Amino acid sequence: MEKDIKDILTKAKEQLSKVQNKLELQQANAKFLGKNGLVLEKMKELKDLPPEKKKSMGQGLNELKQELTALFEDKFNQFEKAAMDEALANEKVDVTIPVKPTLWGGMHPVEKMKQELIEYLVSQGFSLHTGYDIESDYYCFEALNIPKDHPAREMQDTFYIDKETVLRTQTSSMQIRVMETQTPPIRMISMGNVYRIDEIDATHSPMFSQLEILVVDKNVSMADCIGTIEGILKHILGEKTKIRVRPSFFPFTEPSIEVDASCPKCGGKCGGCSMCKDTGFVEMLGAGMVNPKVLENCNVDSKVYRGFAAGFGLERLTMMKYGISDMRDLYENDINLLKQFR
Amino acid sequence: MIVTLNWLKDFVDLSGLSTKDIADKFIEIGYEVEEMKKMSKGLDHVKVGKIVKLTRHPNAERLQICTIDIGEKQVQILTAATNVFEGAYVPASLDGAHLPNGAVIKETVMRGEISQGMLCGGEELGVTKAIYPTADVDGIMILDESAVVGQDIADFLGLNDVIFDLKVLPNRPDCQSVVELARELATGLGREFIEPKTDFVEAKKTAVKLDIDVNTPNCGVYLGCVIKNVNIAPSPAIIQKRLKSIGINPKNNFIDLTNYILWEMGQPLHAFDYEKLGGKIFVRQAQEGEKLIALDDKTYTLSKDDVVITNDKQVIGLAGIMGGKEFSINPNTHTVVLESAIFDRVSIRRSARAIGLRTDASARFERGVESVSALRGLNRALHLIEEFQLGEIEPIVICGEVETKSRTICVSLDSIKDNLGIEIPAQFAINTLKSLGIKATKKNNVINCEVPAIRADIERDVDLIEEIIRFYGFDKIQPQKCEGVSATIGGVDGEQNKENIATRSMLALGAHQIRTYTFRSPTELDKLLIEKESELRNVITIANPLSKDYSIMRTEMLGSVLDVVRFNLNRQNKDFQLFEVGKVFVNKRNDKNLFIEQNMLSYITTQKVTFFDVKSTLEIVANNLGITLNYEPINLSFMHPNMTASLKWANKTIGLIGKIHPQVLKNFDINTDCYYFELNLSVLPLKKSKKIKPIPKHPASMRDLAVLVNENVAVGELVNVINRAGGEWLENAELFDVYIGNEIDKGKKNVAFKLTFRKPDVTMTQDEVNITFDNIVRQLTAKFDAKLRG
Repeated sequence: MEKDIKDILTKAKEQLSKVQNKLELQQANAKFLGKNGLVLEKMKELKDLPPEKKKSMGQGLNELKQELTALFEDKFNQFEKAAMDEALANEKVDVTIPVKPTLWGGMHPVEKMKQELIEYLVSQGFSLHTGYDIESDYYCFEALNIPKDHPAREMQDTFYIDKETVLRTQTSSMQIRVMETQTPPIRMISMGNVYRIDEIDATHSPMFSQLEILVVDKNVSMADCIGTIEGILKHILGEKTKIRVRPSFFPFTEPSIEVDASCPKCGGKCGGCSMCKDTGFVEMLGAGMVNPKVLENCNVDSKVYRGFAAGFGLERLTMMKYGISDMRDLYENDINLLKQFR
Repeated sequence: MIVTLNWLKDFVDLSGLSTKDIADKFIEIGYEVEEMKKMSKGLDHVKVGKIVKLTRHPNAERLQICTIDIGEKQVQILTAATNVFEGAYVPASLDGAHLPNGAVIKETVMRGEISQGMLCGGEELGVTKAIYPTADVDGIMILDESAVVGQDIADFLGLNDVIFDLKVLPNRPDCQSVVELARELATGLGREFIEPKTDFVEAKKTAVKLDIDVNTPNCGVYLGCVIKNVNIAPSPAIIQKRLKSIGINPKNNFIDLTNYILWEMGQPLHAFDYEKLGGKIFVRQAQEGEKLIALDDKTYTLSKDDVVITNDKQVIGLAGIMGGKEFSINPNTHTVVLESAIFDRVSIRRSARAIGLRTDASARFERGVESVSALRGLNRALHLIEEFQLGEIEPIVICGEVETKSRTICVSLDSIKDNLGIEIPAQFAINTLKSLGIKATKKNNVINCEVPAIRADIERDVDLIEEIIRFYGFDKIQPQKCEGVSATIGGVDGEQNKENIATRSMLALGAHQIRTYTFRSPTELDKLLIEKESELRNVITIANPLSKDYSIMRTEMLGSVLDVVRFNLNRQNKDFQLFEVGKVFVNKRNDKNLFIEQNMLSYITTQKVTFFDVKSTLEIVANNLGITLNYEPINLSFMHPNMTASLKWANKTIGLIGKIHPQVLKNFDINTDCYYFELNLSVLPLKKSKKIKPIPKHPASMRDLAVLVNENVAVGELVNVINRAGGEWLENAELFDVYIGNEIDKGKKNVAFKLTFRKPDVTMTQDEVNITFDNIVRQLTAKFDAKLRG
């Protein structure tokens, strides 16, 4: 009987080596390991053996079964792998063929600038208020300490709808509306379209975007004003940006300042720089401590609260950041420009 | 405002400073330098020389050899000019000169004789007759005997000056004067300001009678002063030189004096011929149609808004703008009336604009001149009249009141620190204020300030703080970031949030974002075929537009995007999608009495797509915005009649979608099909944070539903009925086929849906599914006479 086991193993190996495909493997499997296969036949014979033999033979047959099962599985896996390899070999693409994906659209550069500023400022506790493009004379001027016939009104020639209604020349009008209804502490952004009578040219547009910030609380100072502006300019134009502060005048702030940033193009290392005209600095924005008269106009107690405000022209900032030299490019909407802002 | 270096030097010692130092200081204290120009530019190496010997050139008939004494040595210069002579003083440009006309001077040899420079005429030196009388003669500019051999020609001609053109901010009308700018500069430099002299002696008794009667609120104060026994002649050299340096041609001693005071003190003066005027001056509003021939020889017709100066017969001057020609100073004038007055700035601005005449005087009145200036200006003029002995000064006649009193304003050291975030030494603050002419004294922690009347811009403590920091330097403030401010939450408002969602969605779908002007041309509405009675024609009009093309506030977004489409097609850009989030303006007021402004999303594509592609795009945006849209066919003049839907949400019309009418595209010169949609973001609800539904744990049941209906039944209506009839157990009804063709009756269509049923808490029984399904079929049959198909 021991010899029989050896024979079965030898036969099985011999037959397996001849097997060509899965069907032949199945047939061979049935022959050796099937219900009427050689291994089970031999097992049936066990019952006729004496007990001591029965035990050793039983063990031998079991080992045989295990070994054969392993051999057949092995063979099966070989066929599987060969089939998969063949399928893979027949499946081919040229990975270098170009495709036409639906790429993201390009954001308008000014809108991108808005978003960058808003994200930065909101993270610092500022709330955004967009307000109205068509404002009343009161909110656009008078509440901001610019009475009728004030010479400062000439600084920003105004489009009128009627005597009391204007296209806002600054987003500060929204600051008034917020201060009238909220109590400090206030950290706000007013942002949107503003309008001034300017012919369209490389540096002027009758409609442009402004973003202003306003902070009102008990304990704010010019140092906070300058520090906040410095943070914004560094965030937008880069860590190395330096600022320069000059005195200025706005009816709604006192003291008022003008802030220049080191030239984003030449970085202040000058020589033939078209952006800063070799001064090393470019004019960026106006700012200052809120004139107490403005606070009082909004019923904010100017003895308790102080504020600061700063206003950016977003087209100008965008042009500075991206080196766009003609403002008209921002209103032509050529998709060759837009798609660079994906 | 133009000031010159030499004029500034009358009032502040500028020794040891370069012109750049001075310009930088002006910038630092708030005066932008728009231009800085050396008047002597190009005149380096040009000296006064004296011709000591003149001989003919041996080899050139037309040339003469001049031996020129230039002080330290003699040089030889050849010249072809014929007006030279021995003993003449001439401008000699020497080796290395780079003249204003561009010529570069080098030592050369001409026909064997050396020439070490060039003798110059006025043109080569950039000098006109106004600067030197012989500047325009043919040949060399022969100088008078006052010239000093070896002197720089710029010094001799009075061109050793530097012009600064400064930007003076509107809150400082007083700085439209050399004196006040010098005071600012002196303070900035920490040097002493030298007050202009204003003392003089007037006659004790009036000898020449002058009556002044002011009869309009637009004249604050009117000062008149008679100067008798005058001799009208050219001005003293210094006055002529100053006026020339700022570009004013000298005329005669009195006219020049008024200009001089205007520039130096910022006070416009006017001089009348007393004899022509008579002894009476009236100031009043003009009568409609009154006429005046002004100094510029032009006749002006006046209105009742203009203020005039008259005698007892006629108008003699247009107040604050220009005098009448007939009454001006002339060579025969023996007695002069000097006028120093204050006119209302609004009135002057209106008049100057209305008659189209702006003068240096009116420009100053428009910005505001304080009454004290009238007195200061006149006093300074009278001082100079006395100094230059131009005539005898009669007592001043004043009509109205001059405010000379200073105002007391206090500023505490704490307030300075609180406002600026730094401490400024009290002594610095006091010194600065004093230098500005403000009497400042410290008591405890408070600086008491006596602010002179001329500084009307200083009204409260913050104005004083600005003065102090302006000179202390903003660069000394250590920037900080609101460390002392209470915390605030921050965030964007709901409207901005909707805009952000729309923008992000559109970008992700591949559309480029555009930005257009909100003011449009009225012809746009015609090009869009908007009907006469349409609400879209009820536009808000700008009263003073840039031009007609930018004169109405837009009521629609389509015109804006079509302009951009055409622009890009012309640039050979093809197959693109664009979107804009922008405002339209409704000619109706809201509860704040403001016009209604609505934020719109507009989208256009020139790609080869179908209506349904564009609808998919819209559906994505709508889904992101958290709304479900209903589509109703609509006929709009600017859209395709059969391929356009109005968008409904919560029974409101909130937009439209469709193909643009080919005639509209033609009107906009666009030769490709465009699909368009717009969505009114303002009327949409703010997107709320959602409550999360539990993930379904029980299996769904699917059923196909195919019905036969009339061809003209809208599929959308079938969907609505299915959803309503299916109730909450119908999870989804997905259209998978619409068939019209030979296999079914003519005029009918087969519409097939895949229905998904599910109960959230238990598995739905077949009975429950059947009941729901049957209900759907029943309703479809009732509503549309639908036949269920096997």
